[in-house]
Amino acid sequence: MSALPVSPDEAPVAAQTPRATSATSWRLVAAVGLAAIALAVPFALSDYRIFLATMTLITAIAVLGLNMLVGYNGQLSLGHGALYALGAYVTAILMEHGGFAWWATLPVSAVVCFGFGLLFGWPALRLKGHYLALATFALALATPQLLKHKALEPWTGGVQGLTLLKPDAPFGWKLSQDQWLYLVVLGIAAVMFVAAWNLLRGRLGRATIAIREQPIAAAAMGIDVAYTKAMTFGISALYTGVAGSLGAIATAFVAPDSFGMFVSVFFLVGVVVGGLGTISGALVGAAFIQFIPNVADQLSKSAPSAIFAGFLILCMFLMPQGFVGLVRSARRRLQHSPRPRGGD
Amino acid sequence: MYSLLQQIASGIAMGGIYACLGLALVMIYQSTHHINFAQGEMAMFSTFIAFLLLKAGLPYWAAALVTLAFGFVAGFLIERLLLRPLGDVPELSVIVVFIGLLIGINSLAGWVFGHKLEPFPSPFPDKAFGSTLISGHELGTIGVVVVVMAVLFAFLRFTKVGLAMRASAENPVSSRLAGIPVSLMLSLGWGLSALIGAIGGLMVAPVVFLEPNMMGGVLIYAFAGALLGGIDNPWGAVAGGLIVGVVENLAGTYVVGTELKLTLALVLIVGVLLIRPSGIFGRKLVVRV
Amino acid sequence: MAALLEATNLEAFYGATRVLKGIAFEVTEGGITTILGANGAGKTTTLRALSGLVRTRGEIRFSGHRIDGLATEKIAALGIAHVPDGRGTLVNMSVEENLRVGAYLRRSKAEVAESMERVFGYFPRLRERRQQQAGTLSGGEQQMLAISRALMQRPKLLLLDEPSFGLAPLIIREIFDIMRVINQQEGVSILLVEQNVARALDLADHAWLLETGSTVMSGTAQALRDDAQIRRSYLGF
Repeated sequence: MSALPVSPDEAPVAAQTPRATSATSWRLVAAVGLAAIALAVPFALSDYRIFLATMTLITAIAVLGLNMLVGYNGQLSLGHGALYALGAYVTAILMEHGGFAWWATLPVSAVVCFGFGLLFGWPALRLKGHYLALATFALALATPQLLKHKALEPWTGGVQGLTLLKPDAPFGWKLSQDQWLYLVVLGIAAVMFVAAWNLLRGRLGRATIAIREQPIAAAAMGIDVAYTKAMTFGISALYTGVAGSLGAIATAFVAPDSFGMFVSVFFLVGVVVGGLGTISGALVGAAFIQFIPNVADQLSKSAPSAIFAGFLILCMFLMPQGFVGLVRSARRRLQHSPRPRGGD
Repeated sequence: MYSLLQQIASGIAMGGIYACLGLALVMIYQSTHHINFAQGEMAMFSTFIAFLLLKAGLPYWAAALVTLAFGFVAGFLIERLLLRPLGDVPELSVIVVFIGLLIGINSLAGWVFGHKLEPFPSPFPDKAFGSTLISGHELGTIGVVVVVMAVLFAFLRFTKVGLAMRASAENPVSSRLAGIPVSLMLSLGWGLSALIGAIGGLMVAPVVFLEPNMMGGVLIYAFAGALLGGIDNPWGAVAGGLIVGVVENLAGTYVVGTELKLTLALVLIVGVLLIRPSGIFGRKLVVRV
Repeated sequence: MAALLEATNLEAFYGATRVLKGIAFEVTEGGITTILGANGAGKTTTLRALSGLVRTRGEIRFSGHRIDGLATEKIAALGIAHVPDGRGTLVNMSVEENLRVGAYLRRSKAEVAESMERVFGYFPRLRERRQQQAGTLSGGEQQMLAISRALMQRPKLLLLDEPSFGLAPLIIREIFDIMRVINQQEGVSILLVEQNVARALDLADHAWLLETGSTVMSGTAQALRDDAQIRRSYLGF
């Protein structure tokens, strides 16, 4: 297995050359540019397109959650769709049966999903690689069945699911529902991305990555592997769960069949296409899984999934390290001007 | 009591199908350390080919033979033309390629063959020697699976190619140094694995009816069975598949009913894995630091 | 004496790193040649280069034909048998199956059986453990098995990568004695890579000395053994 890409903050400290600072200023320009575009969206596009953008941001949060677990911690989960569903249903049930305001459900969802992630993360410690993949995949498969079960029907609305009310802009602001929701999600996404960046740069992040690379050495260095792994699972679950809540609010609807196995699979695709172990990759990956199916639909009415699959496979041939991985290796090749290799 | 035996017999028959698919999965895993997530779809596609041949009037055994040949060639070509050129990429990227294959083949099947649920004939008589304990097809399935295992075992154990395939899977460098064309062996292994998967498809289609999504549930059980038995052990995969088949059937009939039987079976499997993380018959991997 | 194998300007790469920097050596036909050097000198890489297991530049000629750039399996088919470092044992197979793998390229079943008998003659311990799983053999027995597996190919040239590694002195002597026998009785040329300089010089006719990817010295084994200054500065004794 080839090495996983290293986050920008792990780059050798020795590179305090003028080149490095120009790279940082480039990144600043890119960030500002991105922010400008992001803020322009709700005022430049139609409602439907704004909705798509909102969903992309929400998916990006979910993909980031999964990336923390898979990319940074090296634990493979094929069941994050279940966490997405959990967040969605927590929000739906609280709004429908508890009369909660939509924004009040978010902290509850965060706590519930975090707790679930911790609970799941603890036995997951014993399972490695494919075994963990199976266990999480089992969870993903079981989710629609569980949600449809008669015992839970009074809460979940059974097969029909629950319909929610889309929130209006507050204080009588002159924004459509889609515009308002977009700005809310943008704000939350920004906060969560920055929080993730900070977290992964700090102690937990470094411990997480150490465990991915060499779990035994990490333990020997005094890292509490069990705690770190469980925490990573919990935080990862929190992110994806909150994304699920936001998704439920944005689509104003939850139903068991929209949380099938493919949600989990697509999240993983988003992680890999964007770039394992990268934060910015989450956005690229989310865009991929949101928009490529639409593109595929336009290219072929009869077998759009086949086109999507073709795109997927092509992506893996062209950029096996994901989009961000591709950008990084391109940048590395440009930075290290070819030196003549003699007498080493 | 009698109905319990019937359920167990049914479970073993279904388990035989999981064993077939599980064996196919493990064969590829042993030589490449990859899980072929598209195994089920490949089997489904092969079964559709059989369906077309049967509709064209071919007798069952001829159609089956052609289908197996098709499966073999398809598996061989997928390895040669898709996976070999991929080269040394991160493991998760390979998983995504397999996912792409899964989606792609599934979609292709839907496009070419349609989404209608088609009944698929069984080559076996309805009644198994007049017994009510087990249906003709169930007994036939068990028989087929036994024959497949025996033939595969003999092939791997007693033939030169089988020896070369085993060596290539275990130690590709030593095998190449001995003159074995390892990459060819890999492609052959894929072909063989696809062939076995196709047999599973032919056996399961009469039970669940033929349609592009028919293998979804089967694959997860095959995967679970393979892990339960220990994924580095092909015969463990077979045992695991049989156990899963029986457990699934009994759980569905006596405990939770069909809606939750998937959940229950998976809970049980995960439970076993927590107690024995390398599977029942798997080797405990001792890792040198 | 004619050169069975010649390497000219041989470079070898692991990825972008150049490990062999244009070495030249030859293996005399019917003789035993040894390549010596410290850890990291590039000895194992040299053998890997000959077998096509690493990327190379430069020329390698076997019986006059160029083999650089050929696939490993083809090189084996030309008559080169490589006993890799670490033995390369197929641990899950029996001793006999390991030998049968070695005989993969042979056509005649009778001849394969004959070879197996001969190999058991050299190493009776392997005959005793014929059906035993190869992974349970001791280090010395696995080395014997690895050499036997290579001999099953009926090679013209035997490449040996540090056969003494990790073995007790008595076993080393046993193995080296057999290698002399194999060379004399079957006419198999041997290229031996070794860290155990004394043993290697004792066995070989010619020696080449590698230091960080370059050849720094060569000569008859006798000459290297006798020259005290060379011994002290290059060989450490």
